[in-house]
Amino acid sequence: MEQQKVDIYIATNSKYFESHLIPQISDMLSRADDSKFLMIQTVSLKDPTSMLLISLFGGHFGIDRFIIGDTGLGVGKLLTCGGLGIWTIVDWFMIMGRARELNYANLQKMLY
Amino acid sequence: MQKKWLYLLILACCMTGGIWVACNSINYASASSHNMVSVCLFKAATGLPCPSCGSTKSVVDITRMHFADALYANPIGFIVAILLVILPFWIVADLATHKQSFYNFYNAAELIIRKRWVAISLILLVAANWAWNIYKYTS
Repeated sequence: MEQQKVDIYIATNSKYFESHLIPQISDMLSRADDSKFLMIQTVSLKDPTSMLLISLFGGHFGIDRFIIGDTGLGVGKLLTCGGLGIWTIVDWFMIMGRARELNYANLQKMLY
Repeated sequence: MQKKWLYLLILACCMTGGIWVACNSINYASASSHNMVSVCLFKAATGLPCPSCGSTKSVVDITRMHFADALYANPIGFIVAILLVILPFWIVADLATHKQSFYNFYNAAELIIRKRWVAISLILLVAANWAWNIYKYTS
């Protein structure tokens, strides 16, 4: 893929990924075929900031986990009153990292 | 999610849950059932119970064979009680035999729950239980 396209993608989407993974993503994209550019634009990326807000207000019911795709953990959170309230609070700090991690995994799935 | 982290998380949750139920069971024996400590953030913030409020009392009632009281406290307690008993054994058996039957089951269950009609019916069930919970609390 052309370097210019890779740079555009990184510039617009860097907030969705862990900063230490950006060089890897850049490398992955430049090795990918040009025809995949449109496809990677369609990968649904979860905004970590929105996830934090959802976690703050709906984390008690596991809604944050349901939205990022960890359905099983969402059910666990819902059934246990947000893990006795502890898991809810832990997730306020974890959810942004987990959203970025899953965005990277989704991008990888699309590229390979 | 990686297998080892999932197993570790579930074992930790079951252990905390077991200790929590045991503590509440002792408290239940020495005082009235209304003396249970609430850790629900939603209840503390809004004053209304969440869908799973009452499940501790429900599980404690199940351990004492008071099934009708358990059902009235919160039907979710039955699911939690079954999971609390089965999951630790299943995971320990998996770890001992180097299999991943629970991990495969977990992934398959996630896929089923994500199906639209299953998700909608489960959401409706939880919402109905929540409405009943609020009704019990306010009446």
